[in-house]
Formats: sequence, C-alpha cells, structure tokens
Amino acid sequence: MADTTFTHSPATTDRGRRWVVLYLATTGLVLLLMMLAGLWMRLAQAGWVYTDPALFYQLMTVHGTGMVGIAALGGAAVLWHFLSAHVRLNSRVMGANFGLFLIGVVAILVADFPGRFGGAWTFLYPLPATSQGAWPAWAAALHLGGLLVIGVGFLIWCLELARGIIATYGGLGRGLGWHVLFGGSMRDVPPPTVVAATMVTIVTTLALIAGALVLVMSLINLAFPAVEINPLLAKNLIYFFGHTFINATIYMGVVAVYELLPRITDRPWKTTKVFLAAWTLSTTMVLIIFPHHLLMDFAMPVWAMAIGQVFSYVNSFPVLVVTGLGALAILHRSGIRWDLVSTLLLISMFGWMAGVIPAVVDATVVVNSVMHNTMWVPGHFHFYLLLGLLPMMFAVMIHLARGEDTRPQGSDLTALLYLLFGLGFVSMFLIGGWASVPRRWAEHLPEWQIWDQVASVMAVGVIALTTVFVAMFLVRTPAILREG
Amino acid sequence: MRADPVIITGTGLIALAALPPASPLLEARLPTHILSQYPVVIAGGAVIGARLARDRPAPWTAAPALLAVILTLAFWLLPRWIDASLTDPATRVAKIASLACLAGLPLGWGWVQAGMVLRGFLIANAAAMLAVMGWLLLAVPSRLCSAYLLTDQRLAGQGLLIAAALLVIGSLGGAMIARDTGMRDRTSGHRTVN
Repeated sequence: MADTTFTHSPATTDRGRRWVVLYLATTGLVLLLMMLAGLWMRLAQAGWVYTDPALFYQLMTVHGTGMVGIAALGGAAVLWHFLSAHVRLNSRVMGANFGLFLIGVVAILVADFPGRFGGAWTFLYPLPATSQGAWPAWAAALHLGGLLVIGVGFLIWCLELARGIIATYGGLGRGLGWHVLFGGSMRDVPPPTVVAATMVTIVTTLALIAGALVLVMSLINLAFPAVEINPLLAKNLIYFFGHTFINATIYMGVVAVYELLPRITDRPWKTTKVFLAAWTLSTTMVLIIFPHHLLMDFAMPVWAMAIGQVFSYVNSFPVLVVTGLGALAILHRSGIRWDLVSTLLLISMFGWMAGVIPAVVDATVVVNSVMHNTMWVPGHFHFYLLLGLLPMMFAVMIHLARGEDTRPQGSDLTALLYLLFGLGFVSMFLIGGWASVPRRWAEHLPEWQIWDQVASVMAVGVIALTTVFVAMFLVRTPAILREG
Repeated sequence: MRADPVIITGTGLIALAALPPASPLLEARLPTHILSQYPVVIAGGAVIGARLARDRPAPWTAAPALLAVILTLAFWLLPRWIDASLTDPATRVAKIASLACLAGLPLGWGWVQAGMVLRGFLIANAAAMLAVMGWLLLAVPSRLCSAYLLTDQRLAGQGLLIAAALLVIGSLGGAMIARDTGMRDRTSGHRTVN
C-alpha cells in the first residue's frame, strides 16, 4: 500500500497569526478564571466555603458554558495556526468570530450574574422558562441569545475553513482523502491537519445548525410560553449540538500532535489509507453517538439507544488508534529528549485515550442507569479536557513562546506535576461517581466531602501549573506579535 | 432587440405560479401555497437576478441583497399576511411582486455576487429558520392562518422540516463532491511516496 509521507510544513504563514495569539492569550486568561470558578464550587461542596446554592448554580452555568466556549476558542486557534500553513485562509474571519465571541460572553455573564440565570450549559427545555422565580425571563433569553451569537461566530469560522479546503483540495470529500481511500488516487493527498480540519468543519457546522434551531425555539418558548415544544426532541437537538461541538474541540487540538511531534523528532507523520478511513469513520460516528446522553430517557426509541451505546464503544477507537499508534511510531527509537512541549503532547495522548474510557463505561445502558447522574460523568469530561485537550493547547502556547524552536529546552517536570495534580483531581470525580455521589448538587453530605476536599487541593495544584504555562505564553506575547 | 431567454424563463415561472389556472390550485392549501407557489415565484426572480448579475461584479452588494431575501421571506411567512394575500387582491399583488423582486431577484443577484462563506451562511441560516418555522407550525396548538385547516398547518410544518433537511443534505453533498482545483490555492506542499 502506498503511504503518503507528509513532510512537515513551514511553521505557518503569517496570515491570522495576531489573531491566533490573541485567541490563545484569551483562552489562557479565561481558562484560569473558569478554573477558579470550578475551585470555588469544589470548595463549596467540600464544606470549606459557604456558597449560596443559587450562586453555586450560577457558577456551574458560567463554568460549564465558559469552558465549552473557551475550549472551542483555543482549539480554533490551534487548528487555524497549523491549517493556515496548508490552506489559504482569510484572517478577517478570525476577527469576526472573536468579536461575536466577546459579545456573546458579555451577554452570558450579564445573564448569569446580575440576571442570576443558573440553568446549566445544557439549558434543557423547559428549564429556562420555568425557573420558579430563581431568574427572570430576560436573563434566560440573554443567556440563550449569547450562545446564539457565539454560535454564529463559529459558524462563520467553520464556513471559512470549508471554503479554504474546498478551494485548495476541490471538495470536503477530497479534504477527507476520499479520492485516495476510494479512488486509489495518490494525487493531492491531504496532510493529517487538513483531514482533521475537514472533519471538524463538517461536524461543527451541522452541530451549530441544530444548536441555532433549538436555541431559537427555546427563545420563542420564553417569549410565548403557550408555544410548548417537544421536550425530547429539544433534548436530542441540544445534545447533538453540545456533544458534537465539545467533541470537535479535541479534534481541533490534535493537529498539534500531528504537526509538532514530527518537527520535534524530525520524523514525518505517515498518512495511510487506514488513517483516512479512521477519520472518515469518526466523522460519521461523532454525529450519531449523542443518544448516549439520553439513555435514561425511557421515551427514546430503542434503536436510538442502541446506536448510542454501540457507536459510543466504536467511535473513539479509529482516530485514537491511528493517532496513538502514529505517535508511538514516531517516538519509538527516535532518541527524543523530553521537554515541556513533547511531554505535554504525550500527556495529551494519554489524557485523550484514558479520558474516553469512563465515557465508554457510562455509555453502557446497565451502567448508565446507575452512574449517569453521579460524579462519574464530570470525571469523564474533566479527564478528557483537562488531561487531553488542555495539554495540546499549552504545548502550542509554549511552542509559540519559544519562537517555534523545537529543540528541547527542559521544564518537563512541570508537565509531570500537571499530570499528577490533574490525575488526582479527576480521580476524585470518578471515585465520587463510584460511590454514587450525585452530580450537580450544590451541597454534599459529610460522608462525600473527603473527595471534594482532596479534589480542591488537587485543583489548586492544577491552577498553579496552568498559571505557569499561561504566564510563559503571556510574557512572550508582545515579542511574538513583534516577530510577526 | 432579442429578448433574453433566461429572463423570459424567469418571467414565465413567476407568471405560471402567480396566475390562473395554477395560482388558485396552489393557494388552496397551505403546504402548496408556501412550499410550491413561493419557491416557484422566488426561483423565477432568482433566475432573472442571476442573469443580471453576470458580468456585473459587485461583491459588496451580496450581503444587503441576501438580507433583503431573508426579510422579505420572513414577512410573507407571517400568518397574518398569508391570510391577507388570500382575501385582498392588492396584498396578493404585493406578495407576488415582492417575492419576485425583493426575494427572488436579490437572491439570484446576491448568490452570484456572494463568496462561498456568505453562501454557506445563507444556507445554514435558511435551514435553521425553515426548521424553526416547521417546528412552530407543528407545535402551535391553534390555527395560525384563519384561511387554512389545522391539518394543513401540520402538513406544511412537516414539509418545511423536510425542506430544511434536504437543504442541509444537498448542500453538504455538494460541498463533499470532488472537483479538481489543481491545488491552486495551496500555500505549502506535501509529496506522495509510493
């Protein structure tokens, strides 16, 4: 079989570089603020800081929504940075997305704090309109409107990616390498970054259309409560939107592995038909696995539940296997000298792979009926994002801060400390889930609080190390911008 | 001077949907009214608009033109104006004229002038809003148009949802289809090793 050897491209073109830096700087700062909000919640559950339950749910809403949004913003920066070396992109779109993102964030913050909206990032119908006086209708409308504005920004961003890929490769199918996979062609083989970007473009665009639909319907329900919508359909759309959107962020981030490991080891990333097949399979499956969020909804059709369970088992493996094996093949006997960037990338592979396991366990119907409303589920997504996605973003931040010099420069101990504190933090969620501690409870019983207390200590460590990584990037930001 | 066959075709489409014998049949039921008459009138205008836009590049006009399409459609999908167009001849003329000139014509013109991102945005927005309209027609407990039965309203709702789904599937299918660009836009290369 013919392999396509992708010779790693020059660092990047200058297009959009200022926006990439601005995105990553914003990501770092917002990440720290959201982590502090998360720590506050864990301290409240630990019984160490009194927090009014209403405020807890406001914090939970801001933390959840903020983390999803900032994961997307940071992922977008990483993907744009590397994709712009392969595909000509219009950086004004990055500016438009950033402007809309800021407008949306302000709307959400006003809705959630002065407005006291606490309906969680899932904004499940009919909760926004039935707060029992906890928040006014305008706050719910402002929160949903903020989400809508942010979604419009990301839709434009996705469409620009699609335009660039189509203009360069001749179609999204060719961006996924279908002409190689099905046509046997060896011309214009898309590099891994383009394949990942194509997948992200397709799934995120579809997710955003579904998100816009359910957000507008929820807004109509807020304005005209007599217009009641089907709650199960609304929930399906929300999870199709939400699960796909957050899932896509890791596929944005993984291009850092595809681009940086080859540079660090000076070995090419081999793209094979198996690689292309894996990405095509995941493109399809990412869109249909969301029913694993609805396994407890008895009114869901059985076939949808079956899809949710079976494809949740299968979905993660194709891309994980080709990426994991690809990374191991590059690292094996490469003589690599580990440093901060390479260690963070390796941690991200571990976090991604290991973080998927609790999700697969929870996607099993018999387990789900016991575990889904416990701390097990936050354990999964904190594992996946904290140790999978964030190290990818930190690696890119530090890579840029070092002037894109890939020679080893030490500091890998901080990455290992981040791994240890991160593992300690997410383990407390998982152990809490194993012990049937319910999730989304503002107050915990004394018997549960030991895990909250350990988690709080671990969270402090994670925040301290995140501050180090972000500070390394921020102090170099003016120089990066000057260097252009 | 020879008449342009494209403009004749567009005018013919508008006349076909707006005049008897087709118009009373199309307007008799809500699904055929908004899912047949509207699209045909708009398509007639769009054919003319696209013809006029050819060889007249003005990309800055794309966004305002497409915005006009959205606003015009939003207006004529309001039940109050659907009803009025059935009872008041002047409103009926205004409906056909504005659907042709303020929705169809700018759609054809704007589509030709627009870049791929704007076109994609229009499609995504249209799909989401068609689905919203469809869902609303299914969810609202009472009749929205006094001229049509509730069963017609439900049927139109289902039709709009199907139209939204077809729009998404068709557009995604179009974006997936390979066209050889000769890699003109690529900014850096990769090589193939056998």
